[in-house]
Amino acid sequence: MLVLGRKAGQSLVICGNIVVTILEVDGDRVKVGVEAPREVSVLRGELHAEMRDENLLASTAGSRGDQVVLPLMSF
Amino acid sequence: MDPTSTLDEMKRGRPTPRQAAGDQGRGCTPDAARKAIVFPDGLIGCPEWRRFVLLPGPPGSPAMRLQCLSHPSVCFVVADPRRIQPDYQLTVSREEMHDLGLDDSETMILCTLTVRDDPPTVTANLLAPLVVNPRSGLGKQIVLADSGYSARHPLGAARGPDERPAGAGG
Repeated sequence: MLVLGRKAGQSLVICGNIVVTILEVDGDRVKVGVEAPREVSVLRGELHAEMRDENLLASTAGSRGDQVVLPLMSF
Repeated sequence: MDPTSTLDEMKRGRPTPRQAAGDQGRGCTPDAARKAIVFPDGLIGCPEWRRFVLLPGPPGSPAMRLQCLSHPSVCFVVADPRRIQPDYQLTVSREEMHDLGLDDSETMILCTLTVRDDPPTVTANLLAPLVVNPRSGLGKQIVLADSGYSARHPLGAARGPDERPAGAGG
């Protein structure tokens, strides 16, 4: 992992068109601004992890036996 | 359409002549149900799951299977979230929809359904729907952050007049 020290008001540029700016540091909270093209998805890490886990769990639902799938399909 | 034969067809990589002719002749299945749906970015956390095909559920069922073409073990059960929550809305800007090559009139929205084992419950992911352009076959999973929708919306109370007995698919 690339580790960089930044101060409030300083920024990082990723791929030339994604700018991450440290807006404010207050104790253990850091306010970050992200400027990115609309097609670039930006999610809080924990939300991304939750959606990934939900996808992994759901990804086998259609492969399960008919006793499971048929009731699921007639909700 | 028998989902099993469609799966077999997919595993072989091409339809049998009989199936292809039947598809052309009957025309009762929406085109979107047959052609591949491509998620260029994959699904969230699973970027390698890109190409899928939508397989109809049993007759009368509001749900369908979304089978991954590159990973045979990956098969979602999906449904239109508006069948689950009639006032469901995509809180996505017109610009974002445009970026997806979508407009309001043709958007297909699907949410994944999950069986949770303990206790046995069925939930729908209304927070991160799959948005598909049926014309282009392109799709994207988007997170409706701050929408208030749940990734584990319980379906226990959603049974209604569409409910059919298990095994009605024959």
